[in-house]
Amino acid sequence: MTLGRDDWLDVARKVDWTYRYVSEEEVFPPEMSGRPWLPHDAWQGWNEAYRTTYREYVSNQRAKDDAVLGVRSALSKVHILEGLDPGWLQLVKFHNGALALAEYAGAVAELRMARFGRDSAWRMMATLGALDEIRHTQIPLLLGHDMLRFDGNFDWTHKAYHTNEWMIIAARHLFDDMFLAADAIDLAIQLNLVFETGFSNLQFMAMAAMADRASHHLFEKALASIQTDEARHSQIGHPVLRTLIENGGKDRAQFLVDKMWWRCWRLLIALTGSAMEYLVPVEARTRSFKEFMEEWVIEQFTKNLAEFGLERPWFWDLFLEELDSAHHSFQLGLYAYRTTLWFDVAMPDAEERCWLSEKYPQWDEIFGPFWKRLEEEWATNGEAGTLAYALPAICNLCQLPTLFVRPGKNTACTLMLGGRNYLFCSQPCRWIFEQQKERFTDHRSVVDRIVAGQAPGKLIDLHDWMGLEAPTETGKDLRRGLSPWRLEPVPTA
Amino acid sequence: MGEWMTAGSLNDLWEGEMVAVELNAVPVVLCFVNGAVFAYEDRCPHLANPLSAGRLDEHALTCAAHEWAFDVRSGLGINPMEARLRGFPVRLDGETILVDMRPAGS
Repeated sequence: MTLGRDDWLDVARKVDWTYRYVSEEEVFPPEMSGRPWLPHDAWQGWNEAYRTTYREYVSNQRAKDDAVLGVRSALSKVHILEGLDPGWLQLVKFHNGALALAEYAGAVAELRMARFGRDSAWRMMATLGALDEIRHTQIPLLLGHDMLRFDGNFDWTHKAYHTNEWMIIAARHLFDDMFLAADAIDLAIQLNLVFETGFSNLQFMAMAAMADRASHHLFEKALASIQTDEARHSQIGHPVLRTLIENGGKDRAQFLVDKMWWRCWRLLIALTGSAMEYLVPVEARTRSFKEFMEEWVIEQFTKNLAEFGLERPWFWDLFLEELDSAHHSFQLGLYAYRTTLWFDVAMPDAEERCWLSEKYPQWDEIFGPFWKRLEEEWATNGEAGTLAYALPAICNLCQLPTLFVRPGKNTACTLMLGGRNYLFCSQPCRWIFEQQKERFTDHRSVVDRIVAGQAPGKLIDLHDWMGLEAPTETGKDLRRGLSPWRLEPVPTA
Repeated sequence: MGEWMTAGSLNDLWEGEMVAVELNAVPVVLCFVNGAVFAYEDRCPHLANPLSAGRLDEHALTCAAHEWAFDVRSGLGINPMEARLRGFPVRLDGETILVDMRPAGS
């Protein structure tokens, strides 16, 4: 008789040595394994809910890769890409550059837990997680490479994280904080629990649904296939959080959750919110970014908090307020500074403005006048009139421009520390910075570097410093100012 | 008394298949397995993805998003075992599938 998986799996996943020649603390030093440092007795109840054997893993992953490669074989043709919506293709370029090598950094993080996680079952899940993350790097690199035949800027799939492009610096700052420069406990909560359980479902499954409607079935298949891996390794966070709370670490847990919720929200505004509502063709939008956030992220996250007896983050009201406007404000910044991006950026057309006004009743009143002014600039001064030339104010924590919320409500604030004045986009960013000063004070934002003479102040030289070869690689207006609606006479007051 | 609503017909739901419907503004997935129809909320208890986008292999329903698997005969989790689906009572009136959408406890 063959044993069923659950009859033998514990023999494989629960293999913890009894150390005789070294202490447990030497094997798992707190600098790498995390604090509070607890003896293994506290961790031996660590169990993952979703169980997988290595044999099942290899078999399933092979089938999944075969499925992706099958779709690639059928659909990776230049003429198919030529038929896709041009805004959609910019979204793919944006997504690939911002995430492909971040996934590879995720593999390093999983490997840290595979060595320094405190229970063998945790280490086994993290080993599989590292293999997952390598796969999540290789798939977009492969598909991005295929797309080079269509558009040379798809080399940013691999190149982005090797540059000083400002949005990539912001992403790197976050991911370093979240997992590369974090011990096993902190990264399990920050990466696995908050980011992967809370947010990645939105970035991948919502985008996959939109890819389906945008007829980009290869991207849809790749995103969905990647997301199927998440359930296995993202679940690492739950038993780590439970053990932390059961052993007097509730305050620490609350801090990590609050901090990473805010930091992930900032990333999502940039990566998901603006892309979802300004690059996805209207007919492919299944829900608004706010609707996705409410149903897929907030509802699930608050359920998780309740399960562990944690409070909603103290900045919850500000977060809810930002749902209506932060990504719209951010899009204006992306548009004005588009030459510092590796993808093109769109000005919403008439149909998109109707859609935005329907989903966000105040959109037209708050943001409509800005786009109208940019239209007028196109008509009177050409493209040059639609670009920003002044240095933006950059937040010293999230590294993004301090332009969130909306015009008329400025949440920017400062902090004087060690003779230096730091600038922040909001109170939560300042709060995080103050809680972990030692991690953040020495980092200089792009603007800090320009002011200090460490980066060029002249835009043409700055493009070069950011790794952008102008004018071929630098971001442009998606429609190059040639959209019919823009050629209509602009009404004068 | 239940709030029995017409959810479809056996002419449209064959043995071994599932179909998504909406009843009282609730997304519902109907599964026809082992000669019986089962109805569950069409939201995976993991992260709310629609179960009807997944696959039904005999009695195992696997979510397409993260591969959580459930036994549609009981609604209980196969992997993870601690999970369970929110089910609704089903009865047949000839070929017509009726689902009781009254919230539990009301």
